[in-house]
Amino acid sequence: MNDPVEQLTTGQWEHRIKSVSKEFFNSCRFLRNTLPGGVPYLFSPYEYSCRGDRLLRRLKYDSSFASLRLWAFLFSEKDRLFLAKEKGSKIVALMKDLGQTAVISYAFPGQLSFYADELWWAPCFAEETYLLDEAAKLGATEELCYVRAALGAMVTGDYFPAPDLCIAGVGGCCDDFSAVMQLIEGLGFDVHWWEMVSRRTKPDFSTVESYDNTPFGGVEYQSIAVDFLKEQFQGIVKRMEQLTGTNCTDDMLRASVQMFNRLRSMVSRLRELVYTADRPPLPGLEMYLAEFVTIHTCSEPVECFNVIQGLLDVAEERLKTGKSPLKSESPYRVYWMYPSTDASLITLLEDMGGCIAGTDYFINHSFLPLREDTDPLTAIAENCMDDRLVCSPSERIHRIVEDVKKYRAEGILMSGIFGASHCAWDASALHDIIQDELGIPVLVFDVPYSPGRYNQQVVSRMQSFIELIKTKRASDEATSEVSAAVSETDEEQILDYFRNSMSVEVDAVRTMKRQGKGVVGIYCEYTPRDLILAANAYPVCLCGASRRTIPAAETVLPANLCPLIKSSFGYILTGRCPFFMVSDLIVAETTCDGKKKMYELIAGRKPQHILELTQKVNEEAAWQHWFTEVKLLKEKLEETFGLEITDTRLREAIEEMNRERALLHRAFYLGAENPPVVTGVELARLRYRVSGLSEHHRMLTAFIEMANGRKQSQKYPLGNNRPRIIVSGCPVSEGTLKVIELVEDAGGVVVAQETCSGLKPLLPVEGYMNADPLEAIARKHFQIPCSCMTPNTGRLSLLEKLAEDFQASAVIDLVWQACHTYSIESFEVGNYVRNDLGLLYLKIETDYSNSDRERLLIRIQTMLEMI
Amino acid sequence: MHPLSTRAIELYSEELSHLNSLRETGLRTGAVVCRAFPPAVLAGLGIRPVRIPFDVSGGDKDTVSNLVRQDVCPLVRELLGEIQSDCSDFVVGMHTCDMTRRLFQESYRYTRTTVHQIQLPATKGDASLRFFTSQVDRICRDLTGNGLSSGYISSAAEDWYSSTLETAALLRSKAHTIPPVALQYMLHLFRIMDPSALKDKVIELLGSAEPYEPEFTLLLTGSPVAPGDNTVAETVEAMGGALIPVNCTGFQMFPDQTEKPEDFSVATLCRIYFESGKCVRCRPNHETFRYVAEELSSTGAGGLIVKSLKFCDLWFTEKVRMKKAFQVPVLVLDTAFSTGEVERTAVRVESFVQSLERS
Repeated sequence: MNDPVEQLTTGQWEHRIKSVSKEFFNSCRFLRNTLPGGVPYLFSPYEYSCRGDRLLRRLKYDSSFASLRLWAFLFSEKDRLFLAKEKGSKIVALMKDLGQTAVISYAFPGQLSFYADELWWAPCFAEETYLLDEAAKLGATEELCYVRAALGAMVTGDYFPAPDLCIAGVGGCCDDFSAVMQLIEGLGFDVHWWEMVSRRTKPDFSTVESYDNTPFGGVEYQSIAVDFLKEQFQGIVKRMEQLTGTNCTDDMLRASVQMFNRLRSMVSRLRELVYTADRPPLPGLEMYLAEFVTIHTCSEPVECFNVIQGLLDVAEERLKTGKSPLKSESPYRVYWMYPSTDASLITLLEDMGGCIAGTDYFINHSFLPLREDTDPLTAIAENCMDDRLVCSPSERIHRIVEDVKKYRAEGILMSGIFGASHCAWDASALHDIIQDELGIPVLVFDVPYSPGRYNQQVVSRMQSFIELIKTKRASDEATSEVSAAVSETDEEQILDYFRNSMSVEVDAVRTMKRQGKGVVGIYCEYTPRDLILAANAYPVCLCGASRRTIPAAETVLPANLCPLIKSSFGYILTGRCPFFMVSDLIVAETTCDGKKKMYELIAGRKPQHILELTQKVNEEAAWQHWFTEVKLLKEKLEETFGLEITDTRLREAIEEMNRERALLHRAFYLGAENPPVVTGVELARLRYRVSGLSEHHRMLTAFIEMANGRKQSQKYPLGNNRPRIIVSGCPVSEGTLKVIELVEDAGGVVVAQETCSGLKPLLPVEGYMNADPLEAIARKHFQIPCSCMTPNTGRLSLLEKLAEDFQASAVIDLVWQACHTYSIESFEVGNYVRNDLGLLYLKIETDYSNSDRERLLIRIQTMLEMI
Repeated sequence: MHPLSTRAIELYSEELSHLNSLRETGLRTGAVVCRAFPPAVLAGLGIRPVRIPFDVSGGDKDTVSNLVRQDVCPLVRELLGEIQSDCSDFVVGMHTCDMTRRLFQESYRYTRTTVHQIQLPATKGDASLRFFTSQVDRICRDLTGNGLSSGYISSAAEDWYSSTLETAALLRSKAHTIPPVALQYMLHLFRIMDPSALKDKVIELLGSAEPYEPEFTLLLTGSPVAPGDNTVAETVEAMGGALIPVNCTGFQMFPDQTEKPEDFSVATLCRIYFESGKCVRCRPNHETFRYVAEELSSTGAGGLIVKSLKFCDLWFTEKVRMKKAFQVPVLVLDTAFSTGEVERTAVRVESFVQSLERS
């Protein structure tokens, strides 16, 4: 074969179609059984686009003639239906089941069946909303998915002739279809309803019900379901008999089952060939059409075989010769969930270097065979149980996990459908299960209606998604090298340790308490941990990083308070902070008004010591007062724990804390490596809550070794060419890392945090050996450049140093909502970053919720594009 | 608010606390979601039937937000919150729409409460009834097999059924003279109270206040109304009207049958409740329209309010047909449980009532 193997535009097909042989052109005919010789239908995509489907002009097509035949076959369905009706055939509109009732209806002669549901893609292909507008007039508005276009088509009669019968599935499927069909019935169309069954698996408490497994899908179902479905199908058979005037025999149904089995096996084979190949022999769009055409033969079983056989031949030939229409030599493999209402997104994915490696368009059950050794209606009923719409979202996702493994997909893209009620549940299950079982990137979005162009938000998100896959692939390839200094398992253990360090700490704190050691709860970096350690107690940073405790807090605190304070208070109010419960003393510093007043509300729950922080950082009197406050804290600790905090104890504690600070400092400075050997998220997770734990020190050392190992083996977790970002401002920790996560999702890397949870408080205590160690501790902490200080020039100096050390490209100033000091200081910080450091600057004011993630992602992506 | 309404709200709260205290002393409860499940069946099994006592502030909203997206209907979000909070010894998770189906299919991920799933057919007819009955029967046998019940006693079912109908008939006969909020809460009490005890409470309540003399009457249909979702009733009450709810948390909650059934077996009760369903989800749903028309006629209501919940495709899709189907003005409301909706809903109801007065 010397034919080109590539993707063509509509314009290019205009030239290429001239080389179609007359023989091939004549072989492409439909309605051979109805009209003598049949009707030729092979036209170019451009010709079909001139009839109204304008999206065709924006797509790219496989260059094979078999693919051209597929496109023409699909877009000529309308012609078939109108012609057949004119010639006396009955027209049957099927709705919802996607592959089962067609097996019954095609057992009958003298009729053509089509899936009216598939009109959902008509508004996108036509780039025109008139079908939706017509549906809206009758009540089917935007709360329904695009299937409402079928209602518009029933009214206008533009896409298919008035059906003689509609067969509509209801029950364990989809309310959108059912609601639309009810409106269609209200218009006077003859509708036969049948009930689909939700599939259940056997629960632990089941005592009486019997369960079976589907013969080919292997899924468990309640046995009663198939009995009931058979009755439903008998009802359909009766209605078809009435419509066509033909008595249905078992042989007629068997013949239909055999016909569909042949077609199903062909498409299954095609899917296997294409989705398992390293370079797919056919593009995703042609596969998308082929899969849908199969479930109902596109109103023409005879020609449907020819179309699919042609594609199979092309795929086999290309696999033999190693050819693919995709340009990429090693495309990024993406599993696609839900049929995309905008078909051009599949082309977009391929243009970005991706390919489709497996699909779940909710029709996978229709690629499984039907049993031929039982009565046909039982076989169809069993097949219904394999429908992924009738089972729980979790089960569907588990089956997708199997697919993903089989097709070696590197990411999952779920193109949700606006208004489709099941999408809301699938997204949640998808994230949870995929993260647990596969750990591959997942992209979920509802496809917006954007006639004539790509939606830029979708483009950005797909780019980031492909970028993530690319990064993960690079990382996976690097880690597969056996010479790596740290094995992948070790890496995972180290990263898991910090991800879950809280559970280690809860156990450790309880053990400390049992051993008679003290626990002091703190909230702020101004609280000297050295002093607490010297009192033979452990400083524990109390919880305040969950959005879940905020609603409880808002029953007392005003809503317009910073989330950190609300979350902290909510933890205490709901008794969820395990450290607060066991603390002997709470040290409450007065860094801001909100915290100060919040401390009053928790004062009665635990012994509390207010540590007043003076804020004129450059004034002697302020310093003297602060030093006095530190002395008072020392006395309080001595009183609480019944011991004297000697200079010797202080020096030992300083040495221990200095070691810890130095370890953290070294770890955070790993971000200075270029290319980065650690991610910003990994670094952010290092900030644990309990100081002085030897296990933390051991794991920090392991983390540093792991990163050095990555450097030696050149395993860069985020690749080597990302914009380098400093996050400045309010502190973050596990549970509130969204800004850092978004930066890295968007293609950047957070190299340093100029925050209390980052490098800001990690200066060592100096000059303590030969001078007053308490004064040394007080001085070290007084120098932390928090926005509560005035003037806070230290923050600008630190930013300058970090920008240089970390070769930063931009600074993101993170301000928790209602944190007035950081918010106001942003003005000066922004000017300094832009004008003095010459870097990009972005201020983000947000809270702990995830509701603004998408908006933030767009802002961050925009900034990264400017770098 | 009318004193009777205030008292009815208080009573609901008291009875809810009472129910919880009874649970602490060993009362077993089984929570159902949809009116189609015959409560008398659970009573016959020696289990206190309750309709999941969700309200508009129930559950941990923040947790629910983490589990499902915002475009899940508010009722289902509340149900999820309630199920998580151990609202009952078990739940009969009836699939009535996509959302409830997904909720109960996925409930094992969110809660340890046992959920007995059951699919309520949307189609009527013998096969569908048999399918429904067999599922209820399966639940009864599982409950017995798991030791939650010692067997079905038909006289207990009969007591519950008869009391329910008696109390409902009493309430129905007085509905025009009960302030809307009070009526709504008296109907909510059926969720959580023994109907025979409720009958006494209703008599006591009605005797404690002067009869309410409404200036106009409206009919309410649509999605279920939750305790706390009072805006429509409060607004109509403030404007001096009566509001007769005929949705599934209103009088459609009760079966039609007024004559004594031949027996009180599980199959008979299933048939009565299944056949008397007039939900808009039924396919076809002609019966919903017929029932509302009949109620409009029998109550003499001057207007109809169709109150749909956000993302309830089944009700909201019928908005155009509902407006065309009846001889009275129709107001279609698309509502959520958020406080932000209150003013908008109240203003729309006020405008509707004022337009009725003008016409």
